[in-house]
Amino acid sequence: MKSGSNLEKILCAGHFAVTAELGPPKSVSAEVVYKKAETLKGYADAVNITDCQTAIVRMSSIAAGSMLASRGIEPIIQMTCRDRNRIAIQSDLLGASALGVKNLLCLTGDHQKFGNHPQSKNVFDLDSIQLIKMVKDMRDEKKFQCGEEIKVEPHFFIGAAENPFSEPFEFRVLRLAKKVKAGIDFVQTQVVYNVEKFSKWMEMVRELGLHEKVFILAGVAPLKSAGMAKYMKNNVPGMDVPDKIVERMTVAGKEKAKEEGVNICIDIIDQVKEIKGVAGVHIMAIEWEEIVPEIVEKAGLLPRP
Amino acid sequence: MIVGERKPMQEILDMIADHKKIFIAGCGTCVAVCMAGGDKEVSILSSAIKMARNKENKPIEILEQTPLRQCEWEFVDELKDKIEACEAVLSMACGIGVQTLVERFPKVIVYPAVNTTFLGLPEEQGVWSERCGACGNCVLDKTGGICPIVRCSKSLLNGPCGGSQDGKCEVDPEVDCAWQLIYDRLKTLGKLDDLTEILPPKDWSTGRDGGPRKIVREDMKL
Amino acid sequence: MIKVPCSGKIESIHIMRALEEGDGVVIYACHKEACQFLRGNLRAEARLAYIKNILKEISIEEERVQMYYLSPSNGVKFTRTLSTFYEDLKSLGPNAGRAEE
Repeated sequence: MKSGSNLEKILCAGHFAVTAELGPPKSVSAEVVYKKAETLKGYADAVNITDCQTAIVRMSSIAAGSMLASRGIEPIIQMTCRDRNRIAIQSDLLGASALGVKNLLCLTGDHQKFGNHPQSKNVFDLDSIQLIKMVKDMRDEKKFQCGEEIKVEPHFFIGAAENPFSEPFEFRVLRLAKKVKAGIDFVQTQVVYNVEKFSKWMEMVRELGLHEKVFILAGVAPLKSAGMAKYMKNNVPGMDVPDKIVERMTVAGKEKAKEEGVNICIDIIDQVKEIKGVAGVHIMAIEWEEIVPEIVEKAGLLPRP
Repeated sequence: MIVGERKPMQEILDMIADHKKIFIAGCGTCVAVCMAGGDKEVSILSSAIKMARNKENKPIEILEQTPLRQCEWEFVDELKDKIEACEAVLSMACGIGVQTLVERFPKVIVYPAVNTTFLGLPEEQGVWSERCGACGNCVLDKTGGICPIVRCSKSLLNGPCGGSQDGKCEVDPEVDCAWQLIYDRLKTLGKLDDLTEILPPKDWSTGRDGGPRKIVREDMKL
Repeated sequence: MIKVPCSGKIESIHIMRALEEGDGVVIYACHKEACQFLRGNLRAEARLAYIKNILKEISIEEERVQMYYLSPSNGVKFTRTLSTFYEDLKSLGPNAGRAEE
């Protein structure tokens, strides 16, 4: 066991894993965090807590993560390279580990231009691949990035994100290979709506034998409306939303939109479950966390091990 | 070359508001090439300031000169008389020129009329773009000659990030994704294998992060 | 009236200096496709746009500078446009950017 986390145990045992996501509040409201977490308890093996996603200031991932850990819900904390240099990152990771966090997702981070503090200085002392390697060396070599020994080292189950739908397409698999080489244990992909393209990506992944070196969780997200589908299709970089999905949502009309969104999500889960090399799903229902239990149940993924 | 652009007129007028006689010093090198502070720009700024001040009924007298460079002692020494004849200097050079004047003439007030922006090249007349970050430890050999420090918005050494879309950066659809360019270049050179190497964390101490830099060449000193 | 071999010979600073002492400047250039130096009048047009931006920045009316295109034989258009420009300047009033007399 690299970290002994619940997520690691489930994946290593060969079960189809389920992870979910929650966004911390733009305030000190601990209750918001606890409420969202309670909704997901028992329905997800571990819960991602975003780290100032889209560069908008929110309660820190580590703080919210340790709050979850204290309530018996396993967090996956996220760490971006945008806001912290290697000193702060290593320091935060020592603290997170001491607070009981065992899963870590290493990300580059959205540029601060997207957030509410576009005038800030960006850090990017490291990129996500260097971050992954640094965390792996902290765990397996017991060394800080500078080479100094760590007396009691953190044990993280290390994850990364990958986008099977962005350009250059051929390079995406090589990038995953690079992350695997750097030391990731699991990967959560960008939201899948185009199962065909995702399948092709998985084929390339299998060709390189990567599915045997890292646990791949397919990202899914329930749509709330046709408007949301269109927005994601046209305005969100790196998202591939096929026309037939937009059509299904449009045909459903306002009344049945949410229901159809959930159905589509379950359809996608059913399909990706059958793809060789997919070890689980990562359900992203930001600001709609209440829907996760229904999705997990209807997709036949209960009870959780 | 160093690329800059003239500050907005109002900002310049505010800086010199209390002065009645100023000297506008241009520079014939980088800022002349990027059409921000050469002798043409000096004369036009001078004329514009005079008209703006006439409008306020606060006329101003302006002397003008554009040395070949404003960052070397021998050239700024040529400006001594005009500098001493005025209350303040408005420099149209880059930030280095402003500071050269201040170091050479410590009692003089020097205002910057130009915002020094980046190190780059003229893509065509009227268009300049950033190319170099002066990081002190060039990695262009590893990236097919395309700078990841300054052409990538996140200075990634193992890019691209997930925000690369259609060869453009998530930060601005007009900005090329440096890593797409690097990928394309290495593909053309048949060196895509280079990208499988994980480049380690950069030593930023050779750059600005290490503190103000200085190079001393003992073998070159007189 | 200042004669130049081509409107492209007029530099931005000439227009500015003229405005420092006068109320307006009018430029007569050959028609766009008829420049015997090929692009001289295009340069003049670009310089005019540049000057108009500067005038805007210092709150001097950009209408004080105008450019008209005509062929050398078109005396009628010359007279007409000059009169119009003169009337326009009259309604704008004296140039506040001029030096005190």
